[in-house]
Amino acid sequence: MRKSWTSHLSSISYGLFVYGLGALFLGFMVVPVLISLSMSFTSGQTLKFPPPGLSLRWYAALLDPVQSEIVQQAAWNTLQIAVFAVLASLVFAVPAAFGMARISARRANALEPLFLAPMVLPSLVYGLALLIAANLMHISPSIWLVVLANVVVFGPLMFRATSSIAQQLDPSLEDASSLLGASRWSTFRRVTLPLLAPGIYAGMFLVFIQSIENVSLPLFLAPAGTTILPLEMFAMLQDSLDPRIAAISGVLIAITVLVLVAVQRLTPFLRDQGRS
Amino acid sequence: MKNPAFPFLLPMLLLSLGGFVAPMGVLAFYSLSAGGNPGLFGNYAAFLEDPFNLWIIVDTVTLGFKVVVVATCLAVPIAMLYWHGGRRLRQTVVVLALLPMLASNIVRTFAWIVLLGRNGPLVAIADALGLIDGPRSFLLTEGGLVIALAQIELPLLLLPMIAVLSRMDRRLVEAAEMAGAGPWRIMFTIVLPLTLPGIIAGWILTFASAATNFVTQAAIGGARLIYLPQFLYRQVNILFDWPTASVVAFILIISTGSVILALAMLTRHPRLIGNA
Amino acid sequence: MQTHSQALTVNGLSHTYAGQPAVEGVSFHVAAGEIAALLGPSGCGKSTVLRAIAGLLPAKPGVISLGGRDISPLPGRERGIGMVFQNYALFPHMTVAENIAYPLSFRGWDRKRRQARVEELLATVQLGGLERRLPRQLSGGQQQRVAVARALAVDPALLLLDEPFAALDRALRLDLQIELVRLQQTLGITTVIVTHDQEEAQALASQLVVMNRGHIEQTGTPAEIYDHPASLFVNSFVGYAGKIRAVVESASAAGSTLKVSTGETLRLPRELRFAPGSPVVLTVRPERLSIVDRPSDFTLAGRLLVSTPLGPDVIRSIALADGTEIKLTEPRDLRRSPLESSAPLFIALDVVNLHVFPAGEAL
Repeated sequence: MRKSWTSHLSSISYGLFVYGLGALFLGFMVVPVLISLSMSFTSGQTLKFPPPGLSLRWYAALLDPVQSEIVQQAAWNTLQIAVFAVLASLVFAVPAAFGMARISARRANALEPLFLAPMVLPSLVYGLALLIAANLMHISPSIWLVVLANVVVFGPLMFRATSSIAQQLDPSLEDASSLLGASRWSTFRRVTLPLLAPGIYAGMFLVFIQSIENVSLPLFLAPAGTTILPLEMFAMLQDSLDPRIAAISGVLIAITVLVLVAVQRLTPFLRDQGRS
Repeated sequence: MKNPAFPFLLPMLLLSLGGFVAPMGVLAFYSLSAGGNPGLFGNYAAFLEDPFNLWIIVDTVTLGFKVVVVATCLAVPIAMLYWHGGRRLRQTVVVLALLPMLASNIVRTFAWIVLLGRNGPLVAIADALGLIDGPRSFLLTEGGLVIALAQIELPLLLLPMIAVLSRMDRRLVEAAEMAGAGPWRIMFTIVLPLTLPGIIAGWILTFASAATNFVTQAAIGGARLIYLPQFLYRQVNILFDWPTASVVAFILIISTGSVILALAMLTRHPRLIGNA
Repeated sequence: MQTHSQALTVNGLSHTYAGQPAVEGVSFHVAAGEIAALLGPSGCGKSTVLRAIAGLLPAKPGVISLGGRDISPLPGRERGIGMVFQNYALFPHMTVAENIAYPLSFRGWDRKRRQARVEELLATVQLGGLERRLPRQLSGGQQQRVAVARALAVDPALLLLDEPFAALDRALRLDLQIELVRLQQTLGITTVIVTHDQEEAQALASQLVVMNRGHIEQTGTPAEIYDHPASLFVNSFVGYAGKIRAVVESASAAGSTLKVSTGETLRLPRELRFAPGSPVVLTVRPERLSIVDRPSDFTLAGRLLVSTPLGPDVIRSIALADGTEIKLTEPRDLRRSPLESSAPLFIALDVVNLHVFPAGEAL
């Protein structure tokens, strides 16, 4: 069968569309992040692209206790907030995911939107709501208010990650465990919890990263005298374009990758689990 | 409830009610009652009377739509590249789509400030091509903001599309080929319609994220381009006008929420159910 | 390895799911060391009975006793019962050895003793050397044997198996069925197996408990049930049975006459317990039918639709005069000249072994 010239034209244009534009746009999706990373190695005083030369001076500047005291303090505060948010999310979300798999589908369907709603709402709106509610109760902005907001808004991520695994758990595994002589607690500790672990680790990762990155919540809820890293970065973004922001970005990306790798190491069977 | 699962759900339930529902209720009450405007919806009426404010609402929703359109134009060729790719190419596309997610919104916004700025590569290219008359900055322009947001939110649209495509039966396309359809016709009549559930899910995420992305809007749009999130922020942290801020908060929810709801209704269409 | 096999008695067991009775008044007895099969279509309540025996569901009302002792009030883990679940329920995060040792750890056994027991069990199910594999690295048949080994780990008095072959290839099934029977005979453990596959039930069990819609239809040996089905349901569920509608014309000790739906008349040399005029259904096993050349009191006229060879036999689909289709099997080389399609013929019914059930009984 000979193809007509129009069908040739159509397959050439289609090939260009898929492989030409497709590859180009794929690059477009990634290149900006690579550029911002490359800026962190500039030897120049400004964020001119391409950088005039390569150096680690801006990373060194981050470590300098005099020059970067505020940034370091902000990083430390942010780390504390993130760790507390992760721990508190564990306490609230993991039991909820466990319990959710044990109630009727009708009740679960009624409850789930309530649990997931904070995730859907713009966090700026929730930040304002918590600010006004706290103010009415004469609670002034504090680190703990930021932690609470992070737990409310990002705890659902932990719930969803764990719940999606808990819903898929074969209930006969727990039946088998109890018939084999395990008490409820033994079954939970030795069967259910290890099987939920991939979801829990994924949830911890998500809550941690979001707590480090989110601007909207500390924007309204952080106390005036306390510096928080995302706020500090946002300020740099808006006025000075200090090249240190590129170095901070580099460090944050490195932390994200490290935590991600750690999560995958912790769950050796996570990948194969998904395949079966 | 004497369901044995109830104690596990209780902490999350209390957190949802006390930490989320109650503050949102306070915010709703506050938006109706605080401030000096008479009548139940006095604050809302006062806000909506000002045509400047109405334009902000329109601009915010329009911004969301513009980003969705641009992101869709970017996502379709990439998705088709994924669809035609073998195992290796498909993996590469997924990894590259996930890669930008490792960088926070601030970091990705920072990249665009470098790219769009007076010293950035885009200005240099546009100048070399004679598109613009002498060096200038693409920052503080709506075009720049739309492009930046489209790139930043692109994974939110692309990943749901890929999720649907990865499960799609290739034999459908073979059947269309046997029926005599050319590549373009297959794309428009088979592949894309079947991907529609993923596309709509992606539109919802992209729209919601772009319209409420305070950081990117503020950093790239600056003080010249005002959208609802930034307007809300100014009412709180600069003008200390909490009653107006709470009105803006609900208008933000309602205006973006109604678009999201309309999109979600589309997925209820019987032709779309089942091939998600 | 030895087991203290004990007899199982289930008496008056009922269970309701959300107000709907799932199982009603189920009673049966399995002698010590015997294999019984709970057989029935899906949704008939057989798995509910098994779960009640295991203690995963309450038996209210009902008494379940093992070796003469009422175990109904005990929780599952104190009943001394081993169970193989439908998908084996192997813990995916534990190795084969850890799975099998799991019940032993609740007995306070030390490490060495556990290890020795695991080795012994793996040798019993012929899986030596696979201790450190994870369940997903095993084939379906190997997974099933690990599940059996785990269920047997603490020397249970009763072994329950829930559709243990459903997830396996047909070819593999027969081998594993033989292996299971051999293992059961070696151990002499009382065993209850749930299945929807009547061939599997007949192959494995010395006693069948046929269930339908939450109650027991018939209990007996495979031969009893095949040859003397108590109901039309059992007749059609266990083995194939052709069904022919008829009306009783006369019934006496000398013999009975039936008016078949084709208009023909059949004479049976026995008394039927039906009043004249009752609508009935005759059931005929394919291997009890034969093709003959001339009509008689026990034949019906028919037309050959299609012949399908199946191993040494040939299955013939035959349409009766009114269109009713029935199947007939005969050895393949019985007939020298092959029958032509749509050839008219007569089929002789084995009037002694033919069953008559009231029409209208649910199938």
